[in-house]
Amino acid sequence: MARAALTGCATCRAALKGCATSGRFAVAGCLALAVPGVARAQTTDPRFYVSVNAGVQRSDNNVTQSFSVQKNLEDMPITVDIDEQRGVMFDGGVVVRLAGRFGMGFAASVVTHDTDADVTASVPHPFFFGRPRSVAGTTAATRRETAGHIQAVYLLPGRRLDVMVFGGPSLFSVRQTLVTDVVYSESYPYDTATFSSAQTASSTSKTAIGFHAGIDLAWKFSRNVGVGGMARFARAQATLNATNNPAQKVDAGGLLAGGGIRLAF
Amino acid sequence: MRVLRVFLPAVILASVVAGGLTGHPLRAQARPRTVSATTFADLRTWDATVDRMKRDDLLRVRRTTDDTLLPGRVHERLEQFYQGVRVFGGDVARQMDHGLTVSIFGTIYDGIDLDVRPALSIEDAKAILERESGVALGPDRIPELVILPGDAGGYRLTYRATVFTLQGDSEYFIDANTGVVVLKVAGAHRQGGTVAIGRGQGILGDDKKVSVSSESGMFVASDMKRPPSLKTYDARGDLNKVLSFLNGRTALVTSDLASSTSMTWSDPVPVDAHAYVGYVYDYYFKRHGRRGLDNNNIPIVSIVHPVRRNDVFTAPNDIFFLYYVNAFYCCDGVMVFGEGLPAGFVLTSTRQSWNFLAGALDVIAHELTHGVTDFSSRLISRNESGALNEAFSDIMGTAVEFFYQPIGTNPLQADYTIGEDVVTPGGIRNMANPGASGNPDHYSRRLVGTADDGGVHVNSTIASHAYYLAIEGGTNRTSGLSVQGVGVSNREQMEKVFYRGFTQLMPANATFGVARTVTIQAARDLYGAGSAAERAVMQAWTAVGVN
Repeated sequence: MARAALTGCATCRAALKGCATSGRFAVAGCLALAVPGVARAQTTDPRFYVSVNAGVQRSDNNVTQSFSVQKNLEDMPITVDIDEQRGVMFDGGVVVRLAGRFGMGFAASVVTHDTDADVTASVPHPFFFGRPRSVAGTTAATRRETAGHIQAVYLLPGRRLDVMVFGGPSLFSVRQTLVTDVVYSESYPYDTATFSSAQTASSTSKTAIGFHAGIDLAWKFSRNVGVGGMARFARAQATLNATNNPAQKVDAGGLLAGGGIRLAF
Repeated sequence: MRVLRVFLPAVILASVVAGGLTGHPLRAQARPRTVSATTFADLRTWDATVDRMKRDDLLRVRRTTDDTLLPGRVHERLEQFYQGVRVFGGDVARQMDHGLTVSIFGTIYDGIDLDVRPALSIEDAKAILERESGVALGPDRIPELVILPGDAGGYRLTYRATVFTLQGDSEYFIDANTGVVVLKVAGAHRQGGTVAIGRGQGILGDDKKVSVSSESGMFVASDMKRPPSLKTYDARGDLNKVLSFLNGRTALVTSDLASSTSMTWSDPVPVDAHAYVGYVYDYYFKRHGRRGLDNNNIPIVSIVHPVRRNDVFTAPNDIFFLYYVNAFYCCDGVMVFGEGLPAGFVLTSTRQSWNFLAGALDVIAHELTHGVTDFSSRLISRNESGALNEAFSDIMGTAVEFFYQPIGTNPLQADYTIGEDVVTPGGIRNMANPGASGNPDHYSRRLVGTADDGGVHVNSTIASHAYYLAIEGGTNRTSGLSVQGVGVSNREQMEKVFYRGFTQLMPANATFGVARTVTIQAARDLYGAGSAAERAVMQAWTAVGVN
């Protein structure tokens, strides 16, 4: 049945139009790399499963910077809070069914997040020790997580709905905007200062190894094509470096959810 | 402890010299009229008089300034002229509120009848000055033709000029017809007669920042962050260079600035001098809205190390008392800070040690306030007006301390003693208890005579003690009268009252009585008639015997 589907049978085309007559469609979507399970562990079932997804990532990966730079002979403490709770995700993956309901897969995902970083600093007074002026403001910050996920997959095929559960190691690279200094304006008598802007740098972490686990559901229109949704939790810890900052450990990953196209071959 | 064998002079400087006011017949009778108009009737009369005198070119506006505390108020300061020649000490301060006159204080001299064409030229006068002082004057030191009222009556056409000698700066009045020196006044605004010592990162070991600039790989004591130019020069013990500069013969250049090869300055003297001058500028700006000495950001020049400390043992008394145990405001924004005494030595007469004078915030504020006075009321440095001049410097010196330092009696803490951080023990003058430093606390105890230019330092505590009482309250030890002060939490009120009175309402030739009137007026202006501030000022002056 699977091979018939690959040839583009009428049933499959009907499925793409919303027909629910095909019972052989076995493509599952995966959000990051997940591939749904094969409908039935038969040799006629699809061997390759492809998924393309878009979605969001929710996490608690807020970045908090706390560092100092020298100003007016004193330390100027700077704290930065970057809200990284939600990012836009694009993901694609492929799964190869190896034996029965078991397979292996690989998925790649990119999550980007544009936000405002809240910056506060205590600017030392030019004339006096110990009389800092507080300044606060925001600056644009971007975070981009690129990840590769190697998956062990277990497929649970159904007549219309295929399910995959998967898990395995993940490799992350994080590129994050970090604040490196604060620019402020002041005028005599300098008892107050005003935030002007923040100097920033993009820091790219070295590859960090983590893990992931998730589930993918595919609704088959035909044997080869369908739509699906996935959810995956991934986690790694990356280290960022930027001027004036100590090494900054940040969490990467989080709970991804998305949907897209499922193909099976 | 080793004792430095030096002695205080019996008289600080003679004020009247041969051929002076009492030595020659005067050509007309000096009849000063004191103007003190605050009531409607007086104001109407004097307002018209002032306007008429302006039209007749008998009064000329020297400066008009907006009130920095009361919007809409304007202060007009006028000087008296006679046939185009300024009458020394004749001036009027008129306060207006949206065009309506609020107060007029001043001194007007009547009965002037002089030929204002001098027999001597300016060059002649300059030659006489150089002969009398032994100092060659630079081309910019041009004597001013003025009419000098005599203390005992009469007027004299004179050339007036300031000359700086080893003994300090002196104001000379030379008869413009005969060339006789009719009056010589010690013009330097000094810290009384005696001084002290200390050391640290500041002189007392406190960390402080100094606003400097970088020049040719060096850091120099030139403040570039404040609105005016504030520069501190290190004379490195070259007194001749100091004198040459003060007399306008040579200029100080960048290489004369106090400097350091790194941002960490090793010499605490320029550190304190430079930082404290900035503090004082800041105080005047923040508290009173004043922009520097002239309210127009005139550059301020400080000179440290005018002599070498190790030379103190061979220094003549004049140099010792001016450049070792003293600090003074010279003129035009220039101050010199004395070197103090070597560690372990005390002044024989007082048993006090003297540290570098730049180490005392109130001393620096005191001297800079002389500059404020020079550019505002021009209180004449003789007799009661001179005592008020010194008192105002002590008052503001103390106010600056309280503005920056915690209250207390330890070093680097704010109190009512002048110079206590560098003159130990006891400081120079005590405003809370003037008797502790040998000064009068009551008008009845004032020094009468010519010593100390008519008691300008000695008698200053009569007014500064009134200021103390107006804040802290208490009982005057001589009169036994009590004062209900405004309280330490309202200290700012008295600072503003005295600042307003002394810089905006006070005439140049004021007496203690006029000082009472102008400060009461200032209290009314700022806090209203019947206010606690007005009551405190009135009670304080009454308690010190000034009615």
